[in-house]
Amino acid sequence: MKKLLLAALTLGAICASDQALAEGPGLMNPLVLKAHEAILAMELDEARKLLDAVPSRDPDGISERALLAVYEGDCDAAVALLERHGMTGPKSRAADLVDLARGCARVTAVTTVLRDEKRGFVIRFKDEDDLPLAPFLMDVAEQALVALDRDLQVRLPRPLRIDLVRDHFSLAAMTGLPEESAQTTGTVAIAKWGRVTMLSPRAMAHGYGWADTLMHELTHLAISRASHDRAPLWLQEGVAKYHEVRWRAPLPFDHQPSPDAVARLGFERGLGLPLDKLGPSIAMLPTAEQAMVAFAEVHSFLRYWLKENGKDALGPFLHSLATVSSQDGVDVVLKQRTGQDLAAWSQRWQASLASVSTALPPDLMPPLPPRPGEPPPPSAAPSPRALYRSARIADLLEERGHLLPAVDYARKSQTAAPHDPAARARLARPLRALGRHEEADPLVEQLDAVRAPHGLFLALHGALLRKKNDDSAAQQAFTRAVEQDPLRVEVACELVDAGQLPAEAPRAALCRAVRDRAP
Amino acid sequence: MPPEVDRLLLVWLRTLRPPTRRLLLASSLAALFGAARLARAGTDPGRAAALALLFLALFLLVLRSWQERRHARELRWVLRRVVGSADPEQGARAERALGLLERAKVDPTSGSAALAELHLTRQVSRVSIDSVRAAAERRARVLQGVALVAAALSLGLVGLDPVRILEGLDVLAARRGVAPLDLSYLHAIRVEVQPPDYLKEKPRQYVDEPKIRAPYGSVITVRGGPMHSGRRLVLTDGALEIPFIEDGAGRVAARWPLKESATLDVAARLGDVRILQGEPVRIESVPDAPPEVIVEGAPRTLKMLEVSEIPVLYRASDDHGLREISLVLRAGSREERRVLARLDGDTRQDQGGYQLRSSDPFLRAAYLPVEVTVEARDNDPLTGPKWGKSSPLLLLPPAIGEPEALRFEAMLRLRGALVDLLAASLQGPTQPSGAELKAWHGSWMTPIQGAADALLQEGGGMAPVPGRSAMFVQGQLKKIREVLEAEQRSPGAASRGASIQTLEGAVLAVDRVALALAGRDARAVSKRLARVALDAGDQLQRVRLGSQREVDGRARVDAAMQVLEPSGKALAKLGSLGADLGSIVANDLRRLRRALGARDLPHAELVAYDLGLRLLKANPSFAGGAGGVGEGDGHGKGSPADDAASGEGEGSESGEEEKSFDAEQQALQELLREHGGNLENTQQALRKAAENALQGDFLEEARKHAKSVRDAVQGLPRDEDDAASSAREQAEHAAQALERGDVRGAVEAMQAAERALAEGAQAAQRSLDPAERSMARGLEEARKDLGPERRWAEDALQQMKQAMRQGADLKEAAEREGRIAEKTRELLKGQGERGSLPEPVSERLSQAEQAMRDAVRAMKQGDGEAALEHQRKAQNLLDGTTPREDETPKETSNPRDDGTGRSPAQGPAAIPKAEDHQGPSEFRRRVSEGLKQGQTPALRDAIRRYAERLLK
Repeated sequence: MKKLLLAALTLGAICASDQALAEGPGLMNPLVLKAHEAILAMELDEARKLLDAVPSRDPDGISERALLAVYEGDCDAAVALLERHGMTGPKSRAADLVDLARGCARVTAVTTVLRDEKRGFVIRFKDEDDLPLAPFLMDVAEQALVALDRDLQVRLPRPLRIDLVRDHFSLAAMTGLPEESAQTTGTVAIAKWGRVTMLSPRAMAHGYGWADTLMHELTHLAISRASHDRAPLWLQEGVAKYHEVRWRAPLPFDHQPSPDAVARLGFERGLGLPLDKLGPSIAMLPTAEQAMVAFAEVHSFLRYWLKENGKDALGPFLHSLATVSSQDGVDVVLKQRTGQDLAAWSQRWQASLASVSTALPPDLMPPLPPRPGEPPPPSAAPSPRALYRSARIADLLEERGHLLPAVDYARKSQTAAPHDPAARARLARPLRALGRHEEADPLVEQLDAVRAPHGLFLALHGALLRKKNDDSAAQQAFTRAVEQDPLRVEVACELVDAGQLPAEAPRAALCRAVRDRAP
Repeated sequence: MPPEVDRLLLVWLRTLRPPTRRLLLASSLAALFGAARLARAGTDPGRAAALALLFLALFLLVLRSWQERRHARELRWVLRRVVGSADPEQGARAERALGLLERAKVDPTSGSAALAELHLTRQVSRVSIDSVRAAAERRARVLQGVALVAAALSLGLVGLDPVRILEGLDVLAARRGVAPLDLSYLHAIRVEVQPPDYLKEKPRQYVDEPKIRAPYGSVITVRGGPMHSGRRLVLTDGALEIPFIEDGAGRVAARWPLKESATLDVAARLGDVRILQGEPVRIESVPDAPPEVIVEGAPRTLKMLEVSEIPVLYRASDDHGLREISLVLRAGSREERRVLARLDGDTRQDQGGYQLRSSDPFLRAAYLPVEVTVEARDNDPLTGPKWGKSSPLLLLPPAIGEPEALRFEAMLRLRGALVDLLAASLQGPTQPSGAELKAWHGSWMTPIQGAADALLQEGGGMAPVPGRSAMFVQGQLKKIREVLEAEQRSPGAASRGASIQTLEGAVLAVDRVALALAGRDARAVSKRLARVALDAGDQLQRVRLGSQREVDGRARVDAAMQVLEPSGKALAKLGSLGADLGSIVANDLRRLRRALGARDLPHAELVAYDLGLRLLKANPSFAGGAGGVGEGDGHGKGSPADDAASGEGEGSESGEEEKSFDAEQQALQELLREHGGNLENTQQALRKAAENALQGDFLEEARKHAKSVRDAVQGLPRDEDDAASSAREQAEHAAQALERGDVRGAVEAMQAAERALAEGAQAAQRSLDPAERSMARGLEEARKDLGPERRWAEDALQQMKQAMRQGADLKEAAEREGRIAEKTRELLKGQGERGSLPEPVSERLSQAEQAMRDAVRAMKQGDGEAALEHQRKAQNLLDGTTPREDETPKETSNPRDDGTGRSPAQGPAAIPKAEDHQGPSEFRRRVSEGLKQGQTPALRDAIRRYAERLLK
């Protein structure tokens, strides 16, 4: 019966599309529509089959085939297809897709692609020096997929595509996000076009939390697949933010400062926006501060919603979005499942924020501007200037081998910012070199003594645990360090002696590659 | 056939055969000649008709022969024609007898065949041979007459113009428009070659020459006497035809413009057919060869860093004449041509040289290998001028960014030396004596001073340190020296603490300057490298589109890669941004190499554009955000201490030292602006007083004197390179100055004119040429006429000065000048305490203050002119206290261009923009004012320096 229906549909579609082709712009071929839905749901094989039945000259079909090629990572084919059919003009229906495909083709030309058929990953490296990161990326991605299946009941199709790009320039070309927006908000990754495109840790001097970022972006892909891309922005970002640490064991500094506090502060300072007024993307908000508040809002809201409805409610809720097509589909589903619409939930959530304390420790206070016309709130955080002077002089002295004076300046820096992991690491390193372990070890002993993850700090923590023969915990710490700053020699090489390498093969390979590139 | 019949037939035939043959012959000839005449038209219908006629004649001949043989065997025909002709009645009887015989043979019942045959024989026997002969002779006479007519017709056709018959037959036999038989049409053929005018060669003549060489573009004239009238004669190479025309002297001529080599022949054109004369002449066209240029030592490859001057010695020659010789510089798609010589087009050889310097703007702007050639153009107007090109000298530029990388490394060495001193001071000797401290400090200051000297001295391929940065670094060193000297004077914890604080500041200040400069350099270098990569992309695109050969495109891309590789390494040395961008260059070059290795040019093009566009952005790989929020991410956030200590510091707060330096620079700028304003006030006051003195009658009087000045020099030559012309020019300047009331300018110009006239007169008197000696008298007379005018103007100037002294109100200007002098003193005092300005700047400030005080004194004495001179001196001194260039990153195409501007010959520099700061605008205003007022000695220097800056 299903086959008969499909055949009938196909026949009808062919007739309709031939007619449409003859008559010019008209109704879209239903098969094309179905193919589009399949592409958004990342059912690429299904989409291909549907498009095979669409006449080759159908403009919508051509556009969808090009989209499919982009999803499959074959941007050359997408460009060639659109060019062959003269659909590259600025007024063409595929104008945006052409720009994207061209940018993507340019960035991906002659890049290194690693395919792991067994594990189901296709990872493209813009910079082939990033190849040693592949095992770590795949490990994190596998754990993330397990977590998504568990929490959202979503299985992402394989192969899973991850593009590791070198910079904002390539990120923009690959995703269509304006480069200026990426720079304004400090965007590091985008989940779009059926893949995760993320910056290499090499893009930043001290790396970044690429592992949690990967989880965050994979969550976006899962949401798109579950809801057929019908989840609104607040839901997308809220779920992704909430889930970005759920692939691993929690760390003391996860979600610091509390998103509830930041959201409340944001509303107090006039930076908060209603959940349904966040625009097309948080990355396109005008300032980084607004983006920070927006993330805190959606994160805080989702935590509240899950607290009220239970963690198991999220998966079915997302899946049921795929069944509605109206603009206010979320409201409809929310009301069906919870009895209240978004406005009501938002009201309840904002009311709950009233009891949240905004008295954050100075070093956790987000750098939010005051309301227009109001004086800046007093800050007890250490002055950046004080930190700069002592920290920089400490680094310069250490670089020249003057360890004793370096310790003095690093201590000043650490005293000014006692919970800053970098300041602790900066002091611990020359102390270790001087053999003053009794002073160095306490600085890196407790993870809950710091407010944020930091590659060198975590590596020093791992080295301390290893010294205490707690190899398992040490490996955990080194892993967390690699997830922050994998291209730092101390992190990549786990602080082993110069002539040695870490025991595990991937880590040894990473260490060797990082040492080779070290100045 | 019965014997009786045979006998009669024999008589008949013998009588008729000769006239019949004559008739056939005459008719055949007539047909042949007629056909020839028809064919000579040369058209297809004519030739078809001729052929038809010939075939008809032939057919008739054959028919006649066949009939003759057939009739001779046919008894009935013989009885009818022979017997019947001789005796018609007997002939009829004989025919009936033959009928009876034939019936009897077929049907024996109709009678006896033997009897019938006997009857036939008897009937034939009754005809006499004579009667048959007589009948035959009658018939022969008729035939004879017809043959005579045909023969006459043939003779007529031939006799009129027998060659036409030959031509006709030739045409009839023609194949592909050419007749097989050559015929002579012209006699006494002469060939004349007229070379093209630009060669200026005489015409040459040839007779019976089978092969002639002639320059391309010559006109070949073939002349001869026509042998037959009424022919359309042409000169042809087998394809093209030039008709012969009468030359008015009984001959005909055809002119053949020579392009390609050709074999020319005379021919008669008959319809579609040509009959050649068969005496061809081979004309070899000799093209005008391009000039040949030889550059001494070329081809050769030179490294630009290793040579300061490249002598380009050339020798050019051409077979006919040279018009221009140029030096051509090419780098990538850039090309510059410099004319070395313009020649008259007759010169066949030229030689000369050009000294190409490494400071040449083109070479300085080059980032790709520069190809230097000398190219010569000939004078060929026919095919267009042709360029001959020498073998190239290939100049390899230094890697882009290398000079900046050397500068950054030098700055890091200075920073390192300062850090060492700081570390030493923190752990230095306890309770030392002043002398011990001095020696100890000296040991640490020596490497610092060495590093500073290496940094601030030019040379070694290092980019010079921009003026402001250099001044800042010098100021920091001065402060360190002062604080260490203070510590040496009074050793102790307090003075040590002050030293350490100063050293910390200096370390951070130099660190920030170094990193900021590296960041700016990295951006500038990246943008220059972007052009190289984009150029490579363009080349590959042209190959893809088919507008460039693959081999050429690949060569250009290889050249670009040769630039990109070392330049990327140099870029990687320029701080963290440089390292970031440098690693991108390295990676993308690997991509490019892979694509080229696989001959995957479309992807190579994409990679080249990807790299080019990225480098054009020249920004860090990751930028912005309050700690790396993303489309769902907050993990790019670095630690505050990490951020603070990253050291790149661009856009973050300045250090105390920089703030102090900036404040001093601002104060100097303010001083410069304020003093410039007061200088203008003084000028205005003096101008106003002068204008009051030059009211009404004076200007009228001045115009009259201007006319006298012009009259005095009217007889002198103009636009010559001699003293007389110079004098006239100066006198005319003086007249113009008088007309606009510029008495000082008029006096100076007239003095110059008088000097020129005196020199000219002396030189003329010494000359042996009587004409020149007579000119001396004219010059002397002009000088005498000019003298009174000059004296009148000098008197007027004195009066004007007097009026200015009395009329100018300089009281207010004096007060302001005094206040500015006081500010200058305060600034000097303040910087003395901080010690952040270098010695030369302090000295200039001090001199400027003294000049201001002198100006105040002169104003109080009422000497406005002297005051103005002092003020101008002060302004020039102040102008020298501010760095000449800002430190905005330069997008100049050569890294060596961002120097201090110490040498005006060192390439382009940014012309200050009006909105930049007050110094340049004030300077421009004063220069333009000065140019209006005439050049004082003090201002002349300033104008020269300004002009130098503009030239840069």
